[in-house]
Amino acid sequence: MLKSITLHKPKKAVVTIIDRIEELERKNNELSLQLEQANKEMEAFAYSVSHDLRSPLRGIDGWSQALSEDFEDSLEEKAKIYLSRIRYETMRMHELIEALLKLSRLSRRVLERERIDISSMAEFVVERLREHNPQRRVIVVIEPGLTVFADRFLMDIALSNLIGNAWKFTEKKELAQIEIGSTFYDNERVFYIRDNGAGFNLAYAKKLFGAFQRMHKPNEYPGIGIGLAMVQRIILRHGGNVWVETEVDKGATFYWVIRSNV
Amino acid sequence: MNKKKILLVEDNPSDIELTTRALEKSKISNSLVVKEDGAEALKYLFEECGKADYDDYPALILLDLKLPVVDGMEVLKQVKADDRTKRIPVVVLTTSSEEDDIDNSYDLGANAYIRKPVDNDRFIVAINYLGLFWLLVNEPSYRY
Ligand SMILES: Nc1ncnc2c1ncn2[C@@H]1O[C@H](COP(=O)(O)OP(=O)(O)OP(=O)(O)O)[C@@H](O)[C@H]1O
Ligand SMILES: [Mg+2]
Repeated sequence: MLKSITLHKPKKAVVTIIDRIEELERKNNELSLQLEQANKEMEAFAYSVSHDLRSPLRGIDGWSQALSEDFEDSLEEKAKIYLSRIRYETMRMHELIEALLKLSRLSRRVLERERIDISSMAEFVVERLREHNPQRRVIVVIEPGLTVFADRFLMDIALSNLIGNAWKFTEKKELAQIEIGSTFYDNERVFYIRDNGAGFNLAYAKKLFGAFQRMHKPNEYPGIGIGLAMVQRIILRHGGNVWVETEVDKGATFYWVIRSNV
Repeated sequence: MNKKKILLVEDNPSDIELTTRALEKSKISNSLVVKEDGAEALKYLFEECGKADYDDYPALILLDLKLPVVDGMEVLKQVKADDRTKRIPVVVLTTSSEEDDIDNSYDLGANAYIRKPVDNDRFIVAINYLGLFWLLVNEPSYRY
Protein backbone atom coordinates (compact mmCIF):
# COMPACT_ATOMS: atom_id res chain seq x y z
CA MET A 1 0.00 0.00 0.00
CA LEU A 2 2.61 2.50 1.05
CA LYS A 3 4.79 1.46 -1.86
CA SER A 4 2.16 2.34 -4.41
CA ILE A 5 1.84 5.74 -2.80
CA THR A 6 5.57 6.38 -3.10
CA LEU A 7 5.30 5.97 -6.84
CA HIS A 8 2.83 8.79 -7.23
CA LYS A 9 3.56 11.27 -4.46
CA PRO A 10 6.53 13.44 -3.72
CA LYS A 11 8.96 11.66 -1.47
CA LYS A 12 8.93 14.14 1.39
CA ALA A 13 5.19 13.87 2.02
CA VAL A 14 5.45 10.10 2.20
CA VAL A 15 8.23 10.26 4.72
CA THR A 16 6.18 12.57 6.95
CA ILE A 17 3.17 10.29 6.69
CA ILE A 18 5.25 7.28 7.63
CA ASP A 19 6.82 9.21 10.48
CA ARG A 20 3.41 10.23 11.65
CA ILE A 21 2.10 6.64 11.51
CA GLU A 22 5.09 5.40 13.45
CA GLU A 23 4.63 8.12 16.01
CA LEU A 24 0.95 7.26 16.42
CA GLU A 25 1.79 3.59 16.80
CA ARG A 26 4.34 4.41 19.45
CA LYS A 27 1.84 6.56 21.31
CA ASN A 28 -0.77 3.85 21.04
CA ASN A 29 1.60 1.26 22.49
CA GLU A 30 2.56 3.59 25.27
CA LEU A 31 -1.06 4.24 26.14
CA SER A 32 -2.03 0.58 26.22
CA LEU A 33 0.98 -0.14 28.42
CA GLN A 34 -0.11 2.60 30.80
CA LEU A 35 -3.66 1.31 30.76
CA GLU A 36 -2.50 -2.20 31.54
CA GLN A 37 -0.36 -0.86 34.38
CA ALA A 38 -3.25 1.17 35.79
CA ASN A 39 -5.53 -1.87 35.62
CA LYS A 40 -2.99 -3.99 37.43
CA GLU A 41 -2.64 -1.41 40.19
CA MET A 42 -6.41 -1.20 40.51
CA GLU A 43 -6.62 -4.95 40.90
CA ALA A 44 -3.86 -5.06 43.48
CA PHE A 45 -5.61 -2.28 45.35
CA ALA A 46 -9.00 -4.03 45.31
CA TYR A 47 -7.30 -7.17 46.48
CA SER A 48 -5.50 -5.69 49.45
CA VAL A 49 -8.51 -3.60 50.42
CA SER A 50 -10.75 -6.62 50.48
CA HIS A 51 -8.29 -8.46 52.72
CA ASP A 52 -7.60 -5.66 55.12
CA LEU A 53 -11.25 -4.69 55.50
CA ARG A 54 -12.22 -8.16 56.55
CA SER A 55 -10.56 -7.89 59.93
CA PRO A 56 -12.42 -4.81 61.28
CA LEU A 57 -15.63 -6.26 59.89
CA ARG A 58 -15.06 -9.36 61.96
CA GLY A 59 -14.68 -7.09 64.94
CA ILE A 60 -17.98 -5.31 64.28
CA ASP A 61 -19.91 -8.53 63.91
CA GLY A 62 -18.04 -10.18 66.76
CA TRP A 63 -18.77 -7.49 69.31
CA SER A 64 -22.37 -7.03 68.17
CA GLN A 65 -22.87 -10.73 68.61
CA ALA A 66 -21.15 -10.66 72.01
CA LEU A 67 -23.31 -7.74 73.10
CA SER A 68 -26.59 -9.37 72.15
CA GLU A 69 -25.63 -12.72 73.64
CA ASP A 70 -23.85 -11.68 76.85
CA PHE A 71 -26.41 -8.98 77.71
CA GLU A 72 -29.47 -10.82 76.56
CA ASP A 73 -31.30 -10.23 79.82
CA SER A 74 -30.55 -6.55 80.21
CA LEU A 75 -31.10 -5.43 76.61
CA GLU A 76 -34.48 -4.14 75.54
CA GLU A 77 -36.20 -5.81 72.60
CA LYS A 78 -35.60 -2.78 70.42
CA ALA A 79 -31.90 -2.75 71.21
CA LYS A 80 -31.68 -6.37 70.14
CA ILE A 81 -33.38 -5.56 66.87
CA TYR A 82 -30.93 -2.72 66.25
CA LEU A 83 -28.06 -5.05 66.97
CA SER A 84 -29.35 -7.55 64.47
CA ARG A 85 -29.56 -4.72 61.91
CA ILE A 86 -25.90 -3.93 62.52
CA ARG A 87 -25.01 -7.56 62.00
CA TYR A 88 -27.10 -7.75 58.84
CA GLU A 89 -25.44 -4.69 57.35
CA THR A 90 -22.05 -6.05 58.32
CA MET A 91 -22.77 -9.25 56.43
CA ARG A 92 -23.86 -7.21 53.41
CA MET A 93 -20.61 -5.31 53.42
CA HIS A 94 -18.79 -8.58 53.78
CA GLU A 95 -20.57 -9.95 50.72
CA LEU A 96 -19.66 -6.87 48.70
CA ILE A 97 -16.03 -7.18 49.69
CA GLU A 98 -15.98 -10.86 48.82
CA ALA A 99 -17.44 -9.98 45.44
CA LEU A 100 -14.68 -7.43 44.83
CA LEU A 101 -12.14 -10.02 45.79
CA LYS A 102 -13.62 -12.46 43.30
CA LEU A 103 -13.51 -9.84 40.56
CA SER A 104 -9.88 -9.04 41.23
CA ARG A 105 -9.05 -12.75 41.15
CA LEU A 106 -10.61 -13.07 37.70
CA SER A 107 -8.43 -10.31 36.39
CA ARG A 108 -5.25 -11.69 37.86
CA ARG A 109 -5.69 -15.15 36.43
CA VAL A 110 -3.40 -16.10 33.55
CA LEU A 111 -5.54 -17.29 30.63
CA GLU A 112 -5.12 -20.90 29.57
CA ARG A 113 -6.95 -21.30 26.33
CA GLU A 114 -8.24 -24.59 25.01
CA ARG A 115 -11.04 -25.80 22.79
CA ILE A 116 -14.17 -25.91 24.95
CA ASP A 117 -17.52 -27.49 24.22
CA ILE A 118 -19.81 -24.69 25.36
CA SER A 119 -22.93 -26.79 24.77
CA SER A 120 -22.01 -29.49 27.24
CA MET A 121 -20.64 -26.95 29.69
CA ALA A 122 -24.05 -25.27 29.59
CA GLU A 123 -25.74 -28.66 30.12
CA PHE A 124 -23.73 -29.11 33.32
CA VAL A 125 -24.64 -25.65 34.56
CA VAL A 126 -28.33 -26.35 33.94
CA GLU A 127 -28.05 -29.72 35.67
CA ARG A 128 -26.60 -28.02 38.75
CA LEU A 129 -29.43 -25.47 38.73
CA ARG A 130 -32.05 -28.23 38.44
CA GLU A 131 -30.51 -30.07 41.38
CA HIS A 132 -30.64 -26.94 43.51
CA ASN A 133 -34.18 -26.02 42.49
CA PRO A 134 -36.02 -29.27 41.83
CA GLN A 135 -39.37 -27.48 42.15
CA ARG A 136 -38.67 -25.18 39.16
CA ARG A 137 -40.05 -26.10 35.74
CA VAL A 138 -37.77 -24.65 33.10
CA ILE A 139 -37.54 -25.65 29.47
CA VAL A 140 -33.94 -25.34 28.34
CA VAL A 141 -32.89 -25.72 24.72
CA ILE A 142 -29.18 -25.81 23.95
CA GLU A 143 -27.76 -25.83 20.43
CA PRO A 144 -25.38 -28.79 20.25
CA GLY A 145 -21.73 -28.56 19.22
CA LEU A 146 -20.96 -24.95 20.17
CA THR A 147 -17.25 -24.53 20.82
CA VAL A 148 -14.87 -21.71 21.71
CA PHE A 149 -11.14 -21.42 22.23
CA ALA A 150 -11.04 -20.01 25.73
CA ASP A 151 -10.09 -20.48 29.37
CA ARG A 152 -12.22 -23.28 30.78
CA PHE A 153 -12.28 -22.05 34.36
CA LEU A 154 -13.33 -18.53 33.38
CA MET A 155 -15.87 -19.65 30.79
CA ASP A 156 -17.53 -21.82 33.38
CA ILE A 157 -17.94 -18.78 35.64
CA ALA A 158 -19.29 -16.65 32.78
CA LEU A 159 -21.77 -19.29 31.62
CA SER A 160 -22.88 -20.07 35.17
CA ASN A 161 -23.69 -16.41 35.73
CA LEU A 162 -25.51 -15.88 32.44
CA ILE A 163 -27.54 -19.07 32.77
CA GLY A 164 -28.04 -18.44 36.48
CA ASN A 165 -29.50 -15.02 35.66
CA ALA A 166 -31.83 -16.43 33.01
CA TRP A 167 -32.91 -19.03 35.53
CA LYS A 168 -33.46 -16.47 38.29
CA PHE A 169 -35.28 -13.82 36.27
CA THR A 170 -37.75 -16.34 34.80
CA GLU A 171 -38.72 -17.45 38.31
CA LYS A 172 -42.12 -15.73 38.21
CA LYS A 173 -43.10 -17.12 34.79
CA GLU A 174 -45.64 -19.89 34.47
CA LEU A 175 -43.54 -21.56 31.81
CA ALA A 176 -39.90 -20.51 31.91
CA GLN A 177 -37.88 -20.93 28.75
CA ILE A 178 -34.17 -20.57 28.17
CA GLU A 179 -32.42 -20.94 24.85
CA ILE A 180 -28.69 -21.08 24.28
CA GLY A 181 -27.46 -20.87 20.72
CA SER A 182 -25.42 -19.03 18.13
CA THR A 183 -25.97 -16.78 15.16
CA PHE A 184 -23.89 -14.75 12.71
CA TYR A 185 -23.31 -11.03 13.09
CA ASP A 186 -20.94 -9.15 10.80
CA ASN A 187 -19.41 -12.44 9.64
CA GLU A 188 -18.65 -13.40 13.19
CA ARG A 189 -20.11 -16.22 15.24
CA VAL A 190 -22.04 -14.74 18.13
CA PHE A 191 -23.35 -16.77 21.03
CA TYR A 192 -26.52 -15.88 22.82
CA ILE A 193 -28.62 -16.87 25.77
CA ARG A 194 -32.29 -15.92 25.61
CA ASP A 195 -34.96 -16.16 28.29
CA ASN A 196 -38.60 -15.21 28.56
CA GLY A 197 -38.29 -13.69 32.02
CA ALA A 198 -38.68 -10.30 33.67
CA GLY A 199 -36.40 -8.35 31.36
CA PHE A 200 -35.74 -4.69 32.18
CA ASN A 201 -35.77 -1.22 30.68
CA LEU A 202 -32.56 -0.81 28.69
CA ALA A 203 -32.79 2.96 28.85
CA TYR A 204 -31.91 2.83 32.54
CA ALA A 205 -29.24 0.20 32.19
CA LYS A 206 -26.26 2.39 31.37
CA LYS A 207 -23.87 0.70 33.75
CA LEU A 208 -25.40 -2.76 33.66
CA PHE A 209 -22.04 -4.52 33.46
CA GLY A 210 -20.45 -2.57 36.28
CA ALA A 211 -20.07 -4.03 39.76
CA PHE A 212 -23.17 -3.92 42.01
CA GLN A 213 -25.49 -2.57 39.28
CA ARG A 214 -28.97 -4.05 39.50
CA MET A 215 -32.22 -3.48 37.62
CA HIS A 216 -34.42 -5.30 40.14
CA LYS A 217 -35.11 -4.97 43.84
CA PRO A 218 -33.41 -7.45 46.12
CA ASN A 219 -36.70 -8.60 47.63
CA GLU A 220 -38.07 -9.39 44.16
CA TYR A 221 -34.97 -11.16 42.90
CA PRO A 222 -32.05 -11.71 45.28
CA GLY A 223 -28.46 -10.96 44.33
CA ILE A 224 -25.82 -8.30 44.79
CA GLY A 225 -25.05 -7.49 41.18
CA ILE A 226 -21.64 -8.99 40.63
CA GLY A 227 -22.54 -11.64 38.03
CA LEU A 228 -22.57 -9.50 34.90
CA ALA A 229 -19.47 -7.60 35.99
CA MET A 230 -17.64 -10.92 36.11
CA VAL A 231 -19.10 -11.99 32.77
CA GLN A 232 -17.95 -8.80 31.13
CA ARG A 233 -14.46 -9.00 32.56
CA ILE A 234 -14.11 -12.57 31.41
CA ILE A 235 -15.34 -11.84 27.91
CA LEU A 236 -13.16 -8.71 27.62
CA ARG A 237 -10.14 -10.66 28.74
CA HIS A 238 -10.78 -12.99 25.83
CA GLY A 239 -10.83 -10.01 23.45
CA GLY A 240 -14.58 -10.23 23.03
CA ASN A 241 -17.76 -8.30 23.66
CA VAL A 242 -21.00 -8.84 25.50
CA TRP A 243 -24.26 -6.92 25.04
CA VAL A 244 -27.93 -7.32 25.72
CA GLU A 245 -31.35 -6.87 24.10
CA THR A 246 -34.31 -6.71 26.42
CA GLU A 247 -37.64 -5.12 27.28
CA VAL A 248 -39.60 -5.13 30.51
CA ASP A 249 -41.49 -8.40 30.83
CA LYS A 250 -40.38 -9.58 27.40
CA GLY A 251 -37.34 -11.53 28.48
CA ALA A 252 -33.68 -10.79 27.82
CA THR A 253 -31.10 -11.96 25.30
CA PHE A 254 -27.43 -11.68 26.18
CA TYR A 255 -25.01 -11.89 23.23
CA TRP A 256 -21.31 -12.49 23.43
CA VAL A 257 -18.39 -13.00 21.06
CA ILE A 258 -14.99 -14.36 21.86
CA ARG A 259 -12.02 -13.74 19.59
CA SER A 260 -9.41 -16.45 19.68
CA ASN A 261 -6.58 -14.53 18.04
CA VAL A 262 -5.63 -12.35 21.02
CA MET B 1 -9.64 -33.33 78.25
CA ASN B 2 -5.98 -32.69 77.76
CA LYS B 3 -5.10 -29.87 80.17
CA LYS B 4 -2.08 -28.54 78.42
CA LYS B 5 -1.99 -24.97 77.20
CA ILE B 6 -3.15 -23.50 73.95
CA LEU B 7 -0.83 -21.00 72.32
CA LEU B 8 -2.55 -18.23 70.41
CA VAL B 9 -0.30 -16.16 68.17
CA GLU B 10 -2.31 -13.10 67.18
CA ASP B 11 -1.58 -9.38 67.16
CA ASN B 12 -5.01 -7.80 66.93
CA PRO B 13 -6.37 -7.15 70.47
CA SER B 14 -9.98 -7.41 69.33
CA ASP B 15 -9.27 -10.75 67.68
CA ILE B 16 -7.49 -11.99 70.80
CA GLU B 17 -10.51 -11.19 72.93
CA LEU B 18 -13.00 -12.63 70.48
CA THR B 19 -10.98 -15.83 70.24
CA THR B 20 -10.71 -16.04 74.02
CA ARG B 21 -14.45 -15.56 74.28
CA ALA B 22 -15.13 -18.19 71.62
CA LEU B 23 -12.94 -20.70 73.49
CA GLU B 24 -14.86 -19.98 76.69
CA LYS B 25 -18.21 -20.34 74.93
CA SER B 26 -17.03 -23.68 73.63
CA LYS B 27 -16.18 -24.81 77.17
CA ILE B 28 -12.56 -25.29 76.26
CA SER B 29 -10.88 -24.85 79.61
CA ASN B 30 -7.23 -25.25 78.65
CA SER B 31 -5.40 -22.12 79.65
CA LEU B 32 -4.46 -19.78 76.92
CA VAL B 33 -1.05 -18.26 76.29
CA VAL B 34 -1.12 -15.29 73.93
CA LYS B 35 1.89 -14.04 71.99
CA GLU B 36 1.38 -10.93 69.92
CA ASP B 37 4.11 -11.27 67.36
CA GLY B 38 6.06 -14.02 65.68
CA ALA B 39 9.33 -13.34 67.48
CA GLU B 40 7.67 -13.55 70.89
CA ALA B 41 5.99 -16.79 69.91
CA LEU B 42 9.29 -18.35 68.82
CA LYS B 43 11.02 -17.13 71.97
CA TYR B 44 8.27 -18.65 74.08
CA LEU B 45 8.39 -22.01 72.29
CA PHE B 46 12.14 -22.39 72.04
CA GLU B 47 13.36 -20.67 75.17
CA GLU B 48 10.62 -21.06 77.74
CA CYS B 49 8.77 -24.27 76.92
CA GLY B 50 10.17 -27.68 77.68
CA LYS B 51 12.18 -26.60 80.71
CA ALA B 52 11.40 -28.76 83.68
CA ASP B 53 10.91 -25.81 85.97
CA TYR B 54 9.10 -23.74 83.45
CA ASP B 55 6.39 -24.20 80.89
CA ASP B 56 5.41 -27.34 79.04
CA TYR B 57 4.85 -27.28 75.28
CA PRO B 58 1.34 -26.30 74.22
CA ALA B 59 -1.17 -28.90 73.08
CA LEU B 60 -2.22 -26.73 70.19
CA ILE B 61 -0.98 -23.65 68.37
CA LEU B 62 -3.47 -21.24 66.81
CA LEU B 63 -1.47 -19.14 64.40
CA ASP B 64 -2.37 -15.98 62.53
CA LEU B 65 -0.32 -15.33 59.38
CA LYS B 66 -0.13 -11.56 59.32
CA LEU B 67 2.03 -10.77 62.32
CA PRO B 68 4.49 -8.03 63.19
CA VAL B 69 8.27 -8.63 63.44
CA VAL B 70 8.30 -12.29 62.33
CA ASP B 71 5.31 -13.35 60.25
CA GLY B 72 3.20 -16.45 60.80
CA MET B 73 4.66 -18.35 57.88
CA GLU B 74 8.14 -18.08 59.41
CA VAL B 75 6.84 -19.20 62.81
CA LEU B 76 5.20 -22.19 61.17
CA LYS B 77 8.38 -23.03 59.30
CA GLN B 78 10.53 -22.97 62.42
CA VAL B 79 8.01 -24.87 64.54
CA LYS B 80 7.73 -27.64 61.97
CA ALA B 81 11.48 -27.78 61.39
CA ASP B 82 12.43 -28.28 65.03
CA ASP B 83 12.33 -31.73 66.61
CA ARG B 84 11.02 -30.31 69.87
CA THR B 85 7.95 -28.71 68.36
CA LYS B 86 7.28 -30.39 65.02
CA ARG B 87 4.54 -32.69 66.35
CA ILE B 88 2.49 -29.95 67.97
CA PRO B 89 -0.65 -29.44 65.89
CA VAL B 90 -0.64 -26.01 64.29
CA VAL B 91 -3.93 -24.56 63.10
CA VAL B 92 -3.55 -21.54 60.88
CA LEU B 93 -6.30 -19.11 61.86
CA THR B 94 -6.34 -16.14 59.53
CA THR B 95 -8.44 -13.79 57.40
CA SER B 96 -6.54 -14.60 54.22
CA SER B 97 -8.02 -16.90 51.61
CA GLU B 98 -5.19 -16.35 49.19
CA GLU B 99 -4.43 -19.64 47.52
CA ASP B 100 -0.71 -19.14 47.98
CA ASP B 101 -1.13 -18.69 51.73
CA ILE B 102 -3.17 -21.88 52.00
CA ASP B 103 -0.78 -23.96 49.91
CA ASN B 104 2.35 -22.59 51.54
CA SER B 105 0.91 -23.29 54.98
CA TYR B 106 0.22 -26.91 54.12
CA ASP B 107 3.60 -27.26 52.45
CA LEU B 108 5.26 -26.08 55.64
CA GLY B 109 3.32 -28.67 57.63
CA ALA B 110 0.26 -26.83 58.97
CA ASN B 111 -2.24 -29.34 60.36
CA ALA B 112 -5.29 -27.28 59.47
CA TYR B 113 -6.17 -23.98 57.84
CA ILE B 114 -9.15 -21.97 58.94
CA ARG B 115 -10.28 -18.74 57.41
CA LYS B 116 -11.90 -16.83 60.25
CA PRO B 117 -15.51 -16.27 59.27
CA VAL B 118 -16.88 -12.72 59.55
CA ASP B 119 -20.08 -14.10 61.07
CA ASN B 120 -19.19 -14.51 64.74
CA ASP B 121 -21.71 -17.33 65.29
CA ARG B 122 -19.86 -19.30 62.68
CA PHE B 123 -16.54 -18.34 64.21
CA ILE B 124 -17.64 -19.77 67.55
CA VAL B 125 -18.78 -22.97 65.86
CA ALA B 126 -15.40 -23.22 64.12
CA ILE B 127 -13.52 -22.75 67.39
CA ASN B 128 -15.77 -25.29 69.05
CA TYR B 129 -15.09 -27.96 66.40
CA LEU B 130 -11.44 -27.14 66.38
CA GLY B 131 -11.16 -27.52 70.16
CA LEU B 132 -13.15 -30.72 70.17
CA PHE B 133 -11.12 -32.25 67.42
CA TRP B 134 -7.58 -31.24 68.35
CA LEU B 135 -7.92 -31.50 72.12
CA LEU B 136 -10.30 -34.44 72.46
CA VAL B 137 -10.76 -36.56 69.36
CA ASN B 138 -7.26 -36.40 67.97
CA GLU B 139 -4.59 -38.59 69.58
CA PRO B 140 -1.50 -36.43 70.02
CA SER B 141 2.09 -37.55 70.00
CA TYR B 142 3.39 -38.18 73.50
CA ARG B 143 6.87 -37.12 72.60
CA TYR B 144 7.11 -33.42 72.45
N1 LIG C 1 -31.64 -12.62 32.27
C1 LIG C 1 -31.98 -11.48 32.87
N2 LIG C 1 -33.27 -11.04 32.86
C2 LIG C 1 -33.60 -9.88 33.47
N3 LIG C 1 -32.74 -9.09 34.11
C3 LIG C 1 -31.45 -9.46 34.15
C4 LIG C 1 -31.00 -10.66 33.54
N4 LIG C 1 -29.67 -10.77 33.75
C5 LIG C 1 -29.33 -9.70 34.46
N5 LIG C 1 -30.38 -8.90 34.70
C6 LIG C 1 -30.41 -7.61 35.42
O1 LIG C 1 -29.07 -7.17 35.56
C7 LIG C 1 -28.73 -7.05 36.93
C8 LIG C 1 -27.29 -7.42 37.15
O2 LIG C 1 -27.09 -8.81 36.95
P1 LIG C 1 -25.99 -9.55 37.81
O3 LIG C 1 -25.92 -10.97 37.37
O4 LIG C 1 -24.75 -8.73 37.75
O5 LIG C 1 -26.54 -9.41 39.29
P2 LIG C 1 -27.57 -10.31 40.11
O6 LIG C 1 -27.93 -11.54 39.34
O7 LIG C 1 -28.68 -9.42 40.49
O8 LIG C 1 -26.75 -10.68 41.40
P3 LIG C 1 -25.56 -11.75 41.49
O9 LIG C 1 -25.21 -12.17 40.09
O10 LIG C 1 -24.47 -11.00 42.13
O11 LIG C 1 -26.10 -12.86 42.29
C9 LIG C 1 -29.69 -7.95 37.67
O12 LIG C 1 -29.89 -7.52 38.99
C10 LIG C 1 -30.95 -7.78 36.83
O13 LIG C 1 -31.62 -6.62 37.20
MG1 LIG D 1 -26.43 -12.79 38.54
